[in-house]
Amino acid sequence: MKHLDVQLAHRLLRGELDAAARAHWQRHVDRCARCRELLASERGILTLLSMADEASGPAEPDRDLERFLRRVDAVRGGTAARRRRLVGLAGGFVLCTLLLGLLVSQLRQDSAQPERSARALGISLELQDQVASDLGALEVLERDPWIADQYEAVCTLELLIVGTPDP
Amino acid sequence: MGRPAGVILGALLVVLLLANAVVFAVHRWRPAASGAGGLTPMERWLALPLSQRAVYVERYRGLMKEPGRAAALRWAREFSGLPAERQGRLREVYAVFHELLEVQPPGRRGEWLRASGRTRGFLAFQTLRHEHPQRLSDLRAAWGRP
Repeated sequence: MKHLDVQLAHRLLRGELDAAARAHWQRHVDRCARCRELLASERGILTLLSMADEASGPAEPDRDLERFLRRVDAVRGGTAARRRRLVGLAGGFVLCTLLLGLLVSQLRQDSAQPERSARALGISLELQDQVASDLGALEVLERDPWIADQYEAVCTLELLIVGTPDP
Repeated sequence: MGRPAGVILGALLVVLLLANAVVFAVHRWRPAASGAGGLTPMERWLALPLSQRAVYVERYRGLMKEPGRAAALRWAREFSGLPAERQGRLREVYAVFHELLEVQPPGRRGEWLRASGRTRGFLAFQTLRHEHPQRLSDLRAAWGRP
């Protein structure tokens, strides 16, 4: 099977082929990915070349070439900037999602913490509430265990030592 | 996705970063403030290691089981509400009481232990006054009694 070459692609794009040949190659391009790709690539190149041809005034090859290269750079630069912006936005989106997930998991963990603690201790939430509300007193009893048995006796003894007259 | 989308996303990112920083700071610093009065009892409870929580649960259950022992929690609350100086003095009084109790003959010691808290304190005072008058004077002098 014969495929398009660069010259043929240019002629096809410039409309220099007769109707029968044009119909033949269009049918071929519809079926052939390789020729379709070649045609697209050549179309891009011809577009760029036509930009260079738009230069006004008398032909100045060096200046035209310079202008043409600037246009090419501008087209390339615009694409690169768009790509960078897209990558930035996608990265930002992923980071936002991660941060949101972290925040939600942290907050959910907070609200479920008492329940998890009660389950780990094998006690009811009510009992845990009672123990937690008496935590200060339990800590005091841990530091000063004598309070459980001798607090009244000690307070009475203190009162008598301080508040009664010497014999 | 143009510039406005980028601005919105940037703002969202900043807000989320700040929110995470706040939540992280709260979690990082709040347990350190334990005992400073900045935490609720449940927050203080949850900041304890599980093994410590289990110890407190057992102690609480033990106190609730024995009749009259629940008063211990009330006394502990009362004690913790006292000024540090008074707490220190009560600890000293307990040391004296314990010392006196230890040197009592077994019969008398049993009598003390069967008595109510107030009677026990009174018995200890009588012992102190009759058997250790100098000690009583020293204690009174130390606590501002001439």
